[in-house]
Amino acid sequence: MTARAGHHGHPAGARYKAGDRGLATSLVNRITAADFPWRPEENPGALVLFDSARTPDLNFLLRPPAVAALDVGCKDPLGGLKTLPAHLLLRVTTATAMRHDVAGPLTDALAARLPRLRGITTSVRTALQEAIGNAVMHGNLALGSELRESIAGLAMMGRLMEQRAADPRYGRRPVTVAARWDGTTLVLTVEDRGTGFRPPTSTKALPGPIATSGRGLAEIRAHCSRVTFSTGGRRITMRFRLP
Amino acid sequence: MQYSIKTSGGATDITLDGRLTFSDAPSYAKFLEELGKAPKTHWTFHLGKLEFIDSTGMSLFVHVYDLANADNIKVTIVNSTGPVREALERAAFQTLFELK
Repeated sequence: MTARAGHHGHPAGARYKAGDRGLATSLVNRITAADFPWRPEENPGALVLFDSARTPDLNFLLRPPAVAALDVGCKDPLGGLKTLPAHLLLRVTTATAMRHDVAGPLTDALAARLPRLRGITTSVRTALQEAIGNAVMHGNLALGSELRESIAGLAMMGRLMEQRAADPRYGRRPVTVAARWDGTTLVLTVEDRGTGFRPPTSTKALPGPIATSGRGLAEIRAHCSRVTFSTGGRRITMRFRLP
Repeated sequence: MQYSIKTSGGATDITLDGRLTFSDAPSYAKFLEELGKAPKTHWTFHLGKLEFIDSTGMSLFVHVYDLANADNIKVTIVNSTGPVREALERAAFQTLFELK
């Protein structure tokens, strides 16, 4: 795919030219040579490069014909894309995922491409939100869920969130969501750049009402037909049956 | 998430607007500190304008429950709808609070 960066406007095709809004020309040149997992002839559309510090409207960026939107603020914005085949892909910085609703616009973008999704949008949005939250909090920001157990812990968690989001070593780590589908199934993958974790082997039901942790993964399982982990726990793949 | 805590007489009305998610976690401790200073009789949470809640947001309510339970404060949640209501019920919060 030949990729060029555009001037702030909405993508109008598969090709862009380097713009003047601070998008990294060097990145565009690298994209030209990159081996992307999607093929324009099979999945025609637009590659959108954006600077999340300037372009916060994810709904706008994800409108068709976008097939991928990459936040140029990410550390190594092209890293690992080869392993994430997708009909629609979004990569944002951790700081962006904290500042903006990602799951909502992404769910809307999927519904615009998959009308059959409309019966399960709440499930998709909920599962995406939990997976993105885990990728940000436990993955890229390296915050343990035990911090939620007390008010003092919550205060510390809040301070650490703000400190680390402002620290490029954490805040620029990407959160990537890749969506692919066929006639019966939607597959969503969410990946972070944290240290990973050992996924629980049990598929226990939702925890009791006074639990301060363990609810996110249970929510995901409650809304998906199948959940798997890979790359040392840094990647979660969620499957949904289309109604 | 935006919130307001208003006290009138012995009652306290808390309104939450927008989305209550992990992104709001930096404000949780401050919110709980403010709530802890409210009169310890009856807290009413108005969630009619709350659009979405995730598991981290739900954990805030667990701490509300702990605060209230320690001082025998009655907590009522009113006007939750859609995915917020569904999430509260899925978590069995009706066993902790009065849901109206």
